[in-house]
Amino acid sequence: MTAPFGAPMPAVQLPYLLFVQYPGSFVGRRGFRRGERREIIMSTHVDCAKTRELASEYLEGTLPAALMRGVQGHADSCSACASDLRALQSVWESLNSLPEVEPPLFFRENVMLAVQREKESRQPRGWRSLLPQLGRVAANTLLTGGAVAAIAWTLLVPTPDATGGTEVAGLPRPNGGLLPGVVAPREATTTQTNPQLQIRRTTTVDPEHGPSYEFALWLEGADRGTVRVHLLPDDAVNGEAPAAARFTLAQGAPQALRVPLGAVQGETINLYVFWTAGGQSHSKRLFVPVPKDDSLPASQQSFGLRESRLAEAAREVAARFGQPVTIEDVPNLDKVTVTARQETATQALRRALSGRGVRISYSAAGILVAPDASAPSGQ
Amino acid sequence: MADFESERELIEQSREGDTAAFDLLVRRYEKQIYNTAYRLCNSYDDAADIAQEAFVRAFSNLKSFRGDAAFSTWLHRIVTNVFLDERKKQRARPHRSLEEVLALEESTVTRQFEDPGPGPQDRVEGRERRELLEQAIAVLPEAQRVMVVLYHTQSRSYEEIAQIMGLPMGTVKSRLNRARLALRDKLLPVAELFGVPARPNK
Repeated sequence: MTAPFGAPMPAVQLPYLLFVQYPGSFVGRRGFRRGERREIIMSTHVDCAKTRELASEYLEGTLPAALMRGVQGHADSCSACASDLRALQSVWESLNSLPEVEPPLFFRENVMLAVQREKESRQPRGWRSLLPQLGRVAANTLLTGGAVAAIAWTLLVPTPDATGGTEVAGLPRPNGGLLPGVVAPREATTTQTNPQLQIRRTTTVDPEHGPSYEFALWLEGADRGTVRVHLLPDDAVNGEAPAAARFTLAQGAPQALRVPLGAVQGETINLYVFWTAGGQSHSKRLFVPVPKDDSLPASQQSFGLRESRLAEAAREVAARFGQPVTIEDVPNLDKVTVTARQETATQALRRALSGRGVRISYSAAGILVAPDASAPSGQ
Repeated sequence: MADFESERELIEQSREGDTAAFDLLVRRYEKQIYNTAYRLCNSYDDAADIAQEAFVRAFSNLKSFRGDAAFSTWLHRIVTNVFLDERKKQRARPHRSLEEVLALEESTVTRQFEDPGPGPQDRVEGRERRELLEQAIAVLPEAQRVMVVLYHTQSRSYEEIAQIMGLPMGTVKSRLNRARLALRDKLLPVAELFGVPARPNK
């Protein structure tokens, strides 16, 4: 007894023969060839196991009519299978309605940078031809994303040197191809318990695409972490801006973040860095003054600022004194009033923040505001 | 597709090494490919790496694209392969504990979906349902996960999935059925969230 696909079937419970035509093209050696006809003995007797096997096709309604009826009949008499089918349908619908996500900012720019790099690597011309492209990417992002968005970063490839340490080779520089002042940690630091994100700034003046600040970011004390960088305009350092960069960091493999100074409209570059490593999340706020001219601001000043959130006050201090200020893991909640009476930036900040459970230190990298481990909690 | 001819031209020009033409192709498919990568690896950061690598591979291998499948099908085959290669590499790397990876990915996910303030109950439930579903997908065997992502989130047909994975369509159908059943079985303990009353005992 034969029946073509889709023809009405008698409601029989006995095994019967179906011709099944497999449409479509198949790739690979396994399976059937296109259009091959196979005779398959199919039973319309449906039990729990058969219901599982046919569940998807039953819900799609693509089973032969007799099998559709078979599954339906079984589900009518087996409440567990009926419930399983309903659950499958619900999961199916939820799967179909998973939301779309947006690619990260500058995804395409980075893809094209990598494509360009790939293209260069297949040609004998080498690194140098990449530079104009970098400039173009920065210019592009300036046009498409506004001034706040003009930021480009490049993966730096660490190359082991003879002493066992790791020097960071970046793009070719006038000083011989190394990013000045950046040396990654020598070995995986086993003694270190807390992961640290290190950020160093280096100035780059490149005649090809103007002056820019470059920040090298690397991880210590953890194998891998994720970093999100927000670039905030001067008048919105208390707020949020879309992430300008998001990337993964592996220990010993720094990333460079370049901010073309032409893209910065205010007095400072304001970076809000949110990073996660070793199951912990941390934040860093960096306020880096942009040099306006050759004259250095006085190291001791007198002024009074209006009451403001910590980030705003820190930005103001960084701009006035021309010194970078970093706030590490201090929530930007409390309001502070910063005044300076012929004082240095550190002195003014120490006085304004005394009794708030933070420690202010000064190093070559600028002023650091961090939670004071020795202070009683709850301050 | 109205742009079919221009797409062919763009592919032709990209094949000659024209990155500007390839840029237009990336523009057209970046969202699709990034979403596929994201659903496969369930991490924003890894998805960016995977999708980027897929486009780079596509650019390098354009010569092997003969046009018997749609360009988007071909791109999906590449992003799938990049994902599977990455997983293979990850498995070969012994020093990274799974817990660490999960912890990292979890924090990535929560920070991406961070939602200020409590929303209405059904929105919270919707999010919970989605997160549970995403977690269940993330622990499916990779080949099954690829099929689920391609079929349900990328609306690829069985035939396209068969082309992408180089498998007979019957195999795709039966494996997808098994994958859906596996997802359902994993989610049975929380069936109420999916609007299904608790399962009666057999």
